Amino acid sequence: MINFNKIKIIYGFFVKTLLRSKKTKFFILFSLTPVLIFLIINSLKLIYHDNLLAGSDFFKNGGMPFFFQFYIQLISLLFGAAVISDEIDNKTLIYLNTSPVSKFSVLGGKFSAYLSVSFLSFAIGSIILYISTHLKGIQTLEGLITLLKLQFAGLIAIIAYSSLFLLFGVSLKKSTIIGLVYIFGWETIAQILPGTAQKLTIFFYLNSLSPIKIPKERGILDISVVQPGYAEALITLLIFSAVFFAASIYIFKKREYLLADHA
Amino acid sequence: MDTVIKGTNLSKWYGNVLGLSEISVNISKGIQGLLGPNGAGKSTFLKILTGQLKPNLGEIRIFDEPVFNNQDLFQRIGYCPEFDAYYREVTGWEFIRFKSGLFGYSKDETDRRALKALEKVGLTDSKDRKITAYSLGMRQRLKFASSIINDSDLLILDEPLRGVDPLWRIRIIKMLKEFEEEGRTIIVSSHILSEIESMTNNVILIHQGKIFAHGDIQEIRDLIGSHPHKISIVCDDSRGLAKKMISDDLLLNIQFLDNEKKVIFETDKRDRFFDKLTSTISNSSIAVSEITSPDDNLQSVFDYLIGR
Repeated sequence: MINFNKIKIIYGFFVKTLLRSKKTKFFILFSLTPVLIFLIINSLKLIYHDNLLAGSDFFKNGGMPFFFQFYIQLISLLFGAAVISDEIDNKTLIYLNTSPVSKFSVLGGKFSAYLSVSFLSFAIGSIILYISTHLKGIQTLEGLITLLKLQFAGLIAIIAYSSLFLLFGVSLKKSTIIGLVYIFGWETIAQILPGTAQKLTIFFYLNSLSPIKIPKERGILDISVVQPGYAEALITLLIFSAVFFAASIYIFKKREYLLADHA
Repeated sequence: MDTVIKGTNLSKWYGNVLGLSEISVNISKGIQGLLGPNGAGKSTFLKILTGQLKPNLGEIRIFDEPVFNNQDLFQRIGYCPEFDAYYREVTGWEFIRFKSGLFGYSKDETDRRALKALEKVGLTDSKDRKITAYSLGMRQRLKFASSIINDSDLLILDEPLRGVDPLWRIRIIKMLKEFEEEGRTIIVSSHILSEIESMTNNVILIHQGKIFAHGDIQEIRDLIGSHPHKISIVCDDSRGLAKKMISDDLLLNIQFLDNEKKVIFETDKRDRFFDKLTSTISNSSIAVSEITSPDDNLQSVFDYLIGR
């Protein structure tokens, strides 16, 4: 039986530890990088009496790729895989695995804490960038809806990527390296491969969720695969996430974790 | 006597490395010492007991229940791990409260138990400090506190006194004896014989993944008594001391080192040797600055016993 109270306790504890961690603080600051770049560019343009860079162009060609093709993947990897690998590295897994708590509760509570903090980091950077690049647009209902849709797309992306990297984290020793290969290898290469390889990436579906299209590389043979619709993309990503999460729980339950030289 | 832990033919390998080899053991209520040199298999045994590892062969049952993935069983078990492992970003209070909460108590009960555990190990004054600011001894006491929150029927302690100052060693040992009187089962591992001896007479000796002996600590003491012992003494007149110590059958060998500042005696009659040493030193003007026993540890005893 699922004990929601214990999940809540685990969630609360790890949200607190994450919010105090240097990693989270770094990622929050890092999420502000595009804002800083935008301000620097336009400051220079002001100094040299050049035409200012249009905020919407910067958001589409700079902000969107930064957040949706780099930041989300990176934070999902470094937080998702760390749900269990941090516990192994710090040898604190003992405290969770020898407590009267099911493996489902441990993984569910910790994973949701990591998701929340990852999303918070993304939201801070992306909202500030959107506001600073759409000073007029944000005052309209349409602008607000676009911002909300972006946040929702970011949330779904973080859930999908984090679930995958959680699976890597519970089952592989070098989960971060393999995750990096996946993000910057497979996800990038698949976008330019002919055929339906793109369908085996999270990014393919993510692009359908975003209200502002993310610029893509052109394919080798320029055979474009028809983008899935919004509902199809959303359902597919949620199914992916559920499968990855269920597999993670299964492995976490079955696997023994060696924390040191066992003697 | 009721069996609390029943292990049957337990074997565990890490790849090609043997952790435990066909251990069968029944453990009843009371304090049970688990002794063995580093690398003997004590921690592997305790990890199997606490469901962190599954034996490759054999079966382990606690309170007649299987252990691995049996989370309900952990409601009755307290565990203090050997590692100096802790969450860096939290205070002692936050950690203990978290651990207490995992037992499913109400909010008030969670707080009450967490506070009581901290009181028992003398950490209430520093409960709001981050664990990173604790000394090793304080962290060890915090770990111990986390293992006694639930007033468990079975307490499993892996090297619980490592890094703890002498005063708290005495207090923790006293606490464990009180738990024993309450009818609880406590398993304590250590590689220091005197540590275990201060808690219990009942020991299991583990060496190279096997149970070497199981029973009264006096039997182990007798084995150690016959073990040729080296005693190193630094004094201002090592030749004079050696001359006074020589008697019929007490010494096997005498060796002078460091320009005769240090003398090493070898004896197989440890108790008689120390009686004579004490009287010799007190009845002479020889100034002794250091007495050590280089092989007074379990490893050398085990090496001797298995005939290396």
